[in-house]
Amino acid sequence: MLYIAKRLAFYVLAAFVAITVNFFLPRLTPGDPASTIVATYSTTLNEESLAALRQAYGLTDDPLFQQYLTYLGNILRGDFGRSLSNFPAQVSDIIAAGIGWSVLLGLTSVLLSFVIGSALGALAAWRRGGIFDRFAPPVLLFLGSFPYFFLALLLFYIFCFKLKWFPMGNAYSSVNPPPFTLSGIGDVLYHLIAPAFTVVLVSLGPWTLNMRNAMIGVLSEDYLTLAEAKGLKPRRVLFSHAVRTALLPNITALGAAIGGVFSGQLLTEIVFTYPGLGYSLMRAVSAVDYPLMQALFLIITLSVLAANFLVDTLYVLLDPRVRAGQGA
Amino acid sequence: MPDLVPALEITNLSVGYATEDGIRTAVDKVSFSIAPGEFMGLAGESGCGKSTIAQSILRLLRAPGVITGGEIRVAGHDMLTANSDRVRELRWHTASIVLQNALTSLNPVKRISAQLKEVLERGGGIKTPAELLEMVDIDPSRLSAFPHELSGGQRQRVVIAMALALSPQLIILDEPTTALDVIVQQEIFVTVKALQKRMGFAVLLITHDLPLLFDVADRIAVMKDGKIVEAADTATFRKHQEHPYSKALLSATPKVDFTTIQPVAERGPVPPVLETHHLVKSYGRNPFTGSAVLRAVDDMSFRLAPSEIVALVGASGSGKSTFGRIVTGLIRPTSGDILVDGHTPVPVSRRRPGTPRAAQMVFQDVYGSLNPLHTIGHHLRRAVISAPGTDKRDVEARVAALLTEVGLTPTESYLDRRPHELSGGQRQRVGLARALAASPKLLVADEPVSMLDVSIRRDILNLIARLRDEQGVAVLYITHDVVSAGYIADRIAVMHRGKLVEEGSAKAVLKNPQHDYTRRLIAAVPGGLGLPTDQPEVALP
Amino acid sequence: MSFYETFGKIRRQALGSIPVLVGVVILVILVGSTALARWIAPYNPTRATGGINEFPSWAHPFGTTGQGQDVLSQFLYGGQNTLWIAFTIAVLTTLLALIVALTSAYFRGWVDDVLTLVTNVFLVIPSLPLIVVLAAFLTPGPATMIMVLTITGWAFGARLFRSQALSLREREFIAAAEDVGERRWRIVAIELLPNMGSVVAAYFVNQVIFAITAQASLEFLGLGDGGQVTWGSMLFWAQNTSALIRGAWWTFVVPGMAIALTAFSLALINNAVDELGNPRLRADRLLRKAGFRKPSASLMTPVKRDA
Repeated sequence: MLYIAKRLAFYVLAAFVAITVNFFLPRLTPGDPASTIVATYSTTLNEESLAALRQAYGLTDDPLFQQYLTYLGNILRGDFGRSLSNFPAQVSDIIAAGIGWSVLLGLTSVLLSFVIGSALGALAAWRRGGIFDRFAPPVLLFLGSFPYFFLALLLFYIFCFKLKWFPMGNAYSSVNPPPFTLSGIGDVLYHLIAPAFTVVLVSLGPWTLNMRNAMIGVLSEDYLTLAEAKGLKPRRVLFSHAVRTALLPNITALGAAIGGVFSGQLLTEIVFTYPGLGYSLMRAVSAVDYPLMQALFLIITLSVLAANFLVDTLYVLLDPRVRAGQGA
Repeated sequence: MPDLVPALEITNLSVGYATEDGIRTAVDKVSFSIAPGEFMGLAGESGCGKSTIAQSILRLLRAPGVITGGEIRVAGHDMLTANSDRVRELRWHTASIVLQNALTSLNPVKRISAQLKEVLERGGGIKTPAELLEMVDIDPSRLSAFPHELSGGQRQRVVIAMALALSPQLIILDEPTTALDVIVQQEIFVTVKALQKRMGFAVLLITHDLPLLFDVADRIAVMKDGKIVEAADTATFRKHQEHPYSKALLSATPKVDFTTIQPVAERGPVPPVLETHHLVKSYGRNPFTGSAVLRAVDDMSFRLAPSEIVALVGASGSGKSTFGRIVTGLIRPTSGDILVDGHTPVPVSRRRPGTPRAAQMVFQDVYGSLNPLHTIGHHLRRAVISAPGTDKRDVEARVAALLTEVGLTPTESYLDRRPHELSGGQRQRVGLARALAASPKLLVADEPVSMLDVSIRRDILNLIARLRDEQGVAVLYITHDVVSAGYIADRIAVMHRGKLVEEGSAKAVLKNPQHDYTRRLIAAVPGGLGLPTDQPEVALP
Repeated sequence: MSFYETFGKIRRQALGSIPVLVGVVILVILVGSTALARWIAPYNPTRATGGINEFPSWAHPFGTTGQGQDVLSQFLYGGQNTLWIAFTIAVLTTLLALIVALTSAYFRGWVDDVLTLVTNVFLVIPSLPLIVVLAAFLTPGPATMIMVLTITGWAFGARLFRSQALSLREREFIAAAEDVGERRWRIVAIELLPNMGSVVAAYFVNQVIFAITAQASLEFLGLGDGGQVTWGSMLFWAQNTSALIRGAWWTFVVPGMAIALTAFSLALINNAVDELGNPRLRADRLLRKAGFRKPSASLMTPVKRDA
C-alpha cells in the first residue's frame, strides 16, 4: 500500500505546514500583534493571568527557534493555551465542546449533498436533453451562487423566524446536551435540519454538474458501447457500468470539496447559532481572541486533512487502477 | 431450415449524421448479405462509411448518427422495425461486435469474470466463464484480473470470448487489430479462424487492410464514399479488380520489388552520419537496488552511412521510437556513446536558435505535430529562422523553397493556412519541410505514414526517397511495417525488446531472415511479402 | 474537429444561446449601473438621508438601512467596490496560478515537484479559517482583502493549469518545436500558453465568482473595513442591526441578491460555453435539431421512417 503511505506522508507534511504558519503568523505580521494582544488584555486581566498568557502564548525571551520547539511540543500534547475571551478556560476545552457538533453537521451535509447531487447528476446525464436536464443545472447554479451565510439568513428568517417550523438556533432544546435516547436524538436531528439543508442546497450544484459531466464522458466510452452491445438492460448499463465508473472522479472531487463545504458550514453555524467550531470562530474573531482563533484554524485544518485522507483511502478501495499503483 | 437464412442481410441501407444543415449521408443505399459461416471483409479508407455500417447493424451508432432508410436483418430478424427492448434482446444473441480499441472496450473497474458473467446471465450461454477464456487460449486464472492487468492482445481475446458466449450467428469485427502488433494480429486471426471452423459463425471484418482480407476472408467488398464499389470472392478479387478504386487502393499499398536484388552499394571509407556504441536508455530506477525496471534501448550499436535509408523495424514497445528520439536529442541516453555527423547530439534543453541540427525528426502524429493555432507559414519560418547561418532577409525565399521541395505548390496558398485546413498527407509534407529547414544530414522519420490513409502512404514514402536522392539526406525510417521498410529502405535493422536482433541489406533480410523474431514478423505480414519463391499464405492454417 | 473550427462555432453559437444571453444581460445591467454610481446614485451612500429602516418608496427605491442610509446608493457604490476588488483578485490569482503552472512546465524536474507539493498543501488547507486568521492579523482594507484572498485562492488554478500544460506538453508539436531549436521560454509562451486560452478564461470567470463570495463572507464576519461600503459590509451592518428580525428584509435582499445574481450570471455563461464546447453534447443537440428525441442516453440509433 505504497500509495496510502505516500498520501499519509503528504498530509503529515501539510499539517506541519499549517502548524508552522500558525506559529509564525502572529510573530511576523507587521505591528507585532502578539504583544498587542497582551497589551489589549492587560487592563482586564490581572498580573498573574497575564504572566500565564505570555507563557501560554510562548511570548518569552527565548530565541524564536526555541519558542517554535516549545510550541510544537505544546501542540503535540494538545495544549493550545488559554482562551482570552473566556479566561481562564482552556482553548482545548472550548474546541472539544464544539467539534462534535461541527462534525455531525459537516458529515450529514457533505454526505447528503454528495449522494443527492450524484444521483441528480446521473439522472440528468441519463435523461440528457429532457426536462430535468434542461432546468436543473441553471436552478442549481443559481442556488450555488448564494454565499452560504446569505442563504442561511434567508432560510433562517423564513423557516425559523416567520414560520417557526424549525428552532431558532442551538443544537438541542435543553441547557445541556440531551441524553442518548430516542427523544434526545430526535431533538438533535430537529435542530440539525435547517442548517444542514442550507449547506446541502448551496453545495448541491457542483456535485450535480460534476457527476453529469463525468457521466457524459463515461457514456461515450467504448466499454459502454460494448455493455450496450451485450444487450444488457438499460438499468444495468446505467448503474453497473456508467454510474459505477463516473462516481470515481466525483469521489476525488469529494476530497477537494470538503475544505470548501467546511468553510461554508462555519458561516452557516454562525447564522443558526449552531454551537460548532464556526460559531466559536465567530466569537473568537469578534473578541479578538487570537489563541482560540489560531487553535480553531489548526483543528479545522487537521479535521479536513483527516477527511481527505479517508476519501483517498476510499478511492483506493474503489479504483483497481490506483490499487495496482498505476494511478496517483 | 434456419441455415438458409443469411447471417446478415443489408438492403438499401442509408445512414447519415445530423449536422447544422440537415443530415449528411455517410452510407448510401448499401446492400450486401453474408451467408451462415461466411467470412466477409469490408475494406475502405477512413471516412468511407465502413465502421458506420458495422455500428448500425446492432443500432450502436452514436449520436448524431441516424439510420435513414433500408433494411437490416440479422439472422432473419429485422433490426430497424423492432422496438428498443426487442433490439436489446436480439443484440449479442444474434450478432456480437468486437470494437477497434482493445484497451478501452472493457470496463476498467470491473473484473474480467464479472464482465463475462453479465453476458452469460442473459441466458442461452453454453459455457462457463473459465471455458470461454480457455477457448481463446487465456489461462482461466486470469478471470479475477482487471483489464489493465492484461496485454492489448489478451484484452481483445477476452472480448472475442465474450462475443462468442451466446453463440451468435454473426460476429462483427470492427478493425479489431489495428491497435495491435502484426504478430499479435496474426495470432488473433488464427484463433478466430479456428473457432469459426468449429462453431460455424459468420464474420464481418471491417478493415483498411486489403492484404489482411486476402489471408482471412471468403469474400471482399470495397467501400468508397458511402457506397460499395466492388464485391467479389477473394480469389477472384485478388486476380482481377473490376473497379478502378479497388485497383488504386491495392496498388497504393507499397510492395517490395524482389526482382532487383542488389547488395548495398559499397561507399568506401566515408564517416557514418550516425554511429552509436552500446547505447542504453532505461526507465524507472528501482530505489532499493538501483537497477532499471525497463530497458527501452538495450546496448544498441548501430551505424548509418550518409545518404542511406535504413528502416528500423520493430513492434510497439520494442524501443525503436526511443532510439529515434535519442538520435535527435529529444531524449538523453542513460549510457553509451552516440555521434550524429561526428558530434554528440545537442539535447533539446540546451538547443538555441542557430545551433546546428544534424538530425531532425518527422513525427508520426500528423494531427498533433503541428500547433493548431499557428499557420503553416509560422511553423516553417520558425524552423528556418532558428536554423544555423540564416540571413533574416532570406527567410521567405527559404520557406517557399522548402514548400516547393515537398510538393506543396503554389506556396503562397499554404502560408496562411492553419493545420486543420490541410489533409493528413499535406500535413506530413509540412512536417517534412520543417525537418529539412536546417538542411540536416539525417532525417529520423518515426512511423511517418502509419496514421495516413493507405492511398497516400506511398506518395509520402516516395517523397522521402526523392529527398534522399536529391539532397543526399540520410533517413532512419522507424516503422512496424516490414513491407514499407522493404519498399523504401536500403538496409533493415530489426529491434526486439530494446535490442538489435538483425541487420542487413533490406531485401536480403526479408528474403532470408536469420533471427527467429524477424522470421515471425515476416510470417505475420498480411497477404505475405509477395516473394517469388514463397507461397503467400504461410501464416494461416 | 479542430480547435479552430470548434472555437469559431462556439463563439457563434454562444451569441444565440439563451443562458448566455440571460447571463450577459444580468451582468451588463449590474456592472453598468454600478459603474455609473457617481452619476445615478441619488444620495451619499455613507450619510443618513432618511429614517431608520424605511420601506422602499419613491424617495428611497430600495429603502433605507438601520442607520438611515439609502440602500440604492449603497448598492451602486458598494457594487463598484465589490466588483473591482473581486476583479483584481481574479486577475492576480489567475496570474499567480499561471506563473506557478508554467514555471513547473518550463523547469520540470525538482522545481515542478516542489511547486506541485506547495500547490497541494495550499489546496488541502481549508481556506476560510486560514483567511480568517490571516485577515485578523492584518489591518482591514481592500489591500488586505486582495492579498489574503489571492494567497488562499490560487492553488486550484495552478493545479488545473499544470495538468493542462502537462497534457499539452505531450503533444508532438511541442517536441517538434524543441527539435527545431526553439528556446524553452518561447515554447511555453508561444506554443503552450495560447492553447490554454479557454481553460484560463473559464478559470478566471470562476475566480471572479469565488472572490465576490469570499469577500462578502469575510466582511460578514466583520473582517472587512467596516467604513467602506461594499455588498458584504451592507450585509454585515444589516446583520449587526438585526434588520431581518425587525422586518427590514430589503437591507438584506438587495446586497444578497446582487452578489447572487452577479455570481449566477457568470456561472451561467461559463457553464453554457462549456456545454457548447462539449462534442458529445453537441452531437445530442444536432440529433434533437434533426427531430430525433431520445428518452434516455441508452444507446439505440434512431431510424428515420419516411412519412
